[in-house]
Amino acid sequence: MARFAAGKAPFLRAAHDKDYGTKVMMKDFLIALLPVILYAWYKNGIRVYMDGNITFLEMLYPLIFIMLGGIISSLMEGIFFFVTDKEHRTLKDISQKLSLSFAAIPGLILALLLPLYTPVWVLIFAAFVATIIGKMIFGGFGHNIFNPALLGYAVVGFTLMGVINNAGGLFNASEVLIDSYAGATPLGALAANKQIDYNILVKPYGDLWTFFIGNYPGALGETGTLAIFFGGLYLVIRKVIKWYTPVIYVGTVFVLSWIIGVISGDGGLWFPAYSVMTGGVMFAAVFMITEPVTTPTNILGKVFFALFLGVLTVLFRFVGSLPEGVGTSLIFMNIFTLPIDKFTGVIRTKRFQKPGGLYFGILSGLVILLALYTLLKAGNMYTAFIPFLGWVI
Amino acid sequence: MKNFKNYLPVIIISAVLVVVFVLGGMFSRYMTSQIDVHAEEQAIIEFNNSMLELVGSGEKVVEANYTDLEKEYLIPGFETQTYNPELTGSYKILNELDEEIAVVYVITTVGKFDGLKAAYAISLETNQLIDVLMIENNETQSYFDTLRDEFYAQFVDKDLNDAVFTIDTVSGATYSSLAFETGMKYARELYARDYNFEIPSIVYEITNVERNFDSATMVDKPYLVSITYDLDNKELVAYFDNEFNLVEVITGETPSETYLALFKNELPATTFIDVKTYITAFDETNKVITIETIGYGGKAITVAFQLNDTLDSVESMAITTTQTYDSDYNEGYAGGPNPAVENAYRDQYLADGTYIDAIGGATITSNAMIRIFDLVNDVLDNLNGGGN
Repeated sequence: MARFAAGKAPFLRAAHDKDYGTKVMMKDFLIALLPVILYAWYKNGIRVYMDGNITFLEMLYPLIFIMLGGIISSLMEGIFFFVTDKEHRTLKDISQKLSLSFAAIPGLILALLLPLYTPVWVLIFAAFVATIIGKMIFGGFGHNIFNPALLGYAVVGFTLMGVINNAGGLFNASEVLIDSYAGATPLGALAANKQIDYNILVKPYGDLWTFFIGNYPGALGETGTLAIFFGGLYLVIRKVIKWYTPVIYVGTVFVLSWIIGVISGDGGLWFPAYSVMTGGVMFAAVFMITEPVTTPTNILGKVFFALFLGVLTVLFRFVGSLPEGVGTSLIFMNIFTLPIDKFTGVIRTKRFQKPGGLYFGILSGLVILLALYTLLKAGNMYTAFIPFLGWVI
Repeated sequence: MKNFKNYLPVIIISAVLVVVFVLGGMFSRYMTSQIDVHAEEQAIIEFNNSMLELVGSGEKVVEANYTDLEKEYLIPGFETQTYNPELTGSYKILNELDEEIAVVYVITTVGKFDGLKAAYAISLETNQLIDVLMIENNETQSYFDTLRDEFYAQFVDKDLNDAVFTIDTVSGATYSSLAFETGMKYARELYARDYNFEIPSIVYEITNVERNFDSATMVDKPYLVSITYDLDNKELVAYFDNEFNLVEVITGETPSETYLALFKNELPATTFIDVKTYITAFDETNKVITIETIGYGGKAITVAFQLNDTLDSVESMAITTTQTYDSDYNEGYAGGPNPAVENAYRDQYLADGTYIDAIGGATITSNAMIRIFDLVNDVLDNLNGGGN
């Protein structure tokens, strides 16, 4: 009879082994984030400085901002530890706890999700939501339901995006000079036009290679597809993440976007490629949906989680108020991590015997229904194909 | 003391957080403030690049800080009201050896509305206007857009030594055209002051312009003009046609082409008589005189007057007109559609020989009708001492 560990992830294979264990995983995670951080700094700081559009001090800002994210979330956790644990209040105790809690990571990811010109007080507020509300209140590392960084980002995204835009938003000093951008990100252009048109969605920003490199306007860490790919590759090689989770997620977004393109009369692969390289899909695929605490633990769970997430990402791009879709869908799916884990666990043990087959049918049916609904809700694109649906949906 | 020691870690962490908040906040505010600074810098770079592009050569743009000079020009559409154009910027264009090769004057003039700002580039090497660049304006865009490349091409390589320093205006955007012409003339005046350029001296004085009411020649030779011109005060009395081309010299010699071009340009601005209204035909047999003038929007109003046998009063009139009264400028008009205004003037004139002062919202058309009646009265007075 198969035996399963019940409880919250991460499950450590060999905590005493110097090659494995949470500490090593988190170190690898930080190493994988490095190319993304460096590219964000290069794109929004170094290169803009080399263009002659900003001063040396401004050139340092993107890097300092990202580092501040890590520092602020660590400080907040430190204060939380001090307040909640009266027995261990020395700096040494707090430092030890922080090193086991990997306090800097949510802050770093949070900073990478935010636009360049986010005021530091907004970062502090977001870090508070991420660290204290998203993580520590649930019991700290390993006990949180929501991805902490994403929770901080979502709260700020829904409440303070106006403040961020007033402070300068996400266009760096070189990007604001490019007339063809017309003040819109690629996904902003899709949300505004609801048209699958290469000349509107891609051409103003360059070509698909530009998107792959990440040289287009977007949040600090979300544009550098190539850098994210290297980070992901490193994590897969180091066996920190499973390769199929990001592949299924990205694949789902790709296929659904391609179908939407076909329905709207443009069957080119540029639109699905555009869809996966914009709006944080790649960043989420590598650094967020592979996070061991807030995503399912078993293989089938990961598969269903990635499928649902991919479908919802595309859906929210066409029906949500946040055009990137990734954050909203991931927060939403975090709620269902435990049920998915539970149902897929049963499916794995019972296979297609009752109730495994039923659960499998329900989950698969939900994915298919959601995918169909997404295709139908893809803005005004479907009406050309099946016009009468425009009257009822 | 012990308590303080217990709380020292949280005090330290909080202090660091406060420092991050304050310094980070200052840094992010600095970043935001720099956006405007960079936008301003970029605007200057773009403007300087546009200046270099205007000149077509040169390596560097240096602000010149030249000042205005007193020079009055007619406000387009007004016969006596004048204004002084405003020099809103001046720039020296330098070559790679830092030698000045051109100057650009940014001048604000008045077209249909105030605020037509344009840059006029002048070559120091050739004393020619290199080109003109429109920067901003408040003109009615649909009319302004009729100024196309052909219009702007007139400024390219225009010699500042030209005695007749004018351009052809574009119908429909006459006032805007005149604004550019005024800017060009003012730029030449500035250039003369700043670079010791000598504006060619054309001496002339239009001493009189009167209408020719001789029934046989008044259509072909409508204007009898007296002019004193040239440094040796040559006298000219001559007939000019409706477009101010010389038709016949009565006294003096035929002036040079330069002077003829100058007279053609300057005579329409004369204040002696109304030169917007012409006699286009006179049928002495049937006693019909046709008069045309320009009304609203540059559109003509033509009135054919049927005179009585003794040529001293009007019996009837036929009006040909396409005037409109409901444009942006005539929002106050509340009467009937075209040709209600013209008909109202006709009826009043035929009834008792008087004119309506003006019809609100259609003042340009009203003035045009009054000009026509003034002219027909003058014709009647001169043909047979009549008058309606």
